[in-house]
Amino acid sequence: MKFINNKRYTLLLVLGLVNIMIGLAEMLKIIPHSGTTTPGVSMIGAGIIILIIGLYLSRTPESESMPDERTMKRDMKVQSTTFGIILAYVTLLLLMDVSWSSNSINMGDFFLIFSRPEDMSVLFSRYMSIIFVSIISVVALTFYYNKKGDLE
Amino acid sequence: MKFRTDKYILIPMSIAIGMVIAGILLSYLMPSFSGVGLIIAGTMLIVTGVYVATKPIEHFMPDERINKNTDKAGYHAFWIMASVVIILNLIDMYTSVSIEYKHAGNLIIIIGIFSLYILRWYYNKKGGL
Repeated sequence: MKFINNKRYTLLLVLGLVNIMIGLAEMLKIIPHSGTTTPGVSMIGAGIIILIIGLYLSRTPESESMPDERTMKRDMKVQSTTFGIILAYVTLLLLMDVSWSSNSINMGDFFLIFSRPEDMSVLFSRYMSIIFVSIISVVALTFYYNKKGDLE
Repeated sequence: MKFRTDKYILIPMSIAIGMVIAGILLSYLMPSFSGVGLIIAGTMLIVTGVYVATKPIEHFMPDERINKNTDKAGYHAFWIMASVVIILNLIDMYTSVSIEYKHAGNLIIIIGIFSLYILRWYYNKKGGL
């Protein structure tokens, strides 16, 4: 097994290991947490995903893993469009909160597939919903610009 | 001085005048509602509209360099804003400090808009995109 020595991949591997260690420390109650039902699980999960990405990239040849000019142009266009979407979404949420005093509305209540929506209050907080919207926008716009082809 | 009267001028100008009238009416009819924001925003739109109407439409057509500049600035502004949201979320989740979205939302918007404009200015100065 041959690993490519690159700063970027090493950083990903270190970040993954740090995440896992923080998650373990939370689980063992070394770090105080805010009383979530499953402390440390999300950190360990994120750490494992980052570790797998880092290991995969470190084994891929440099020419394959480095983005070409079109990919970079596409990513820039996607993320600058996502910036506009997020700005509009943040403003809309803020107007909802300020104008309608809807701070008590729990976004988890809308997802009735969960039997206990009150447990989802952390997952569907305002901040988490912004993160979800940005991830979904990035994925959808990447797909769209890939299909569209011409980036001008 | 010649003013343009195409749809790109008339529609925003009518919206702006509507905003000012709505602000004045709402301030009179609903004492609890402050229409100052609407009046200021409408006035700013009218001033911008008058300025834009005096220039030819070709003046505002972005060239390729400006498009590239905006894309690059938006790309970095997105990551700055995402980092702020993630940090606020982590503070909200893992510490005893509870940050209400009502108070943090303004901060996120201001950081997003300012970073976009500062980065656009920076890339404009830097050149060589």
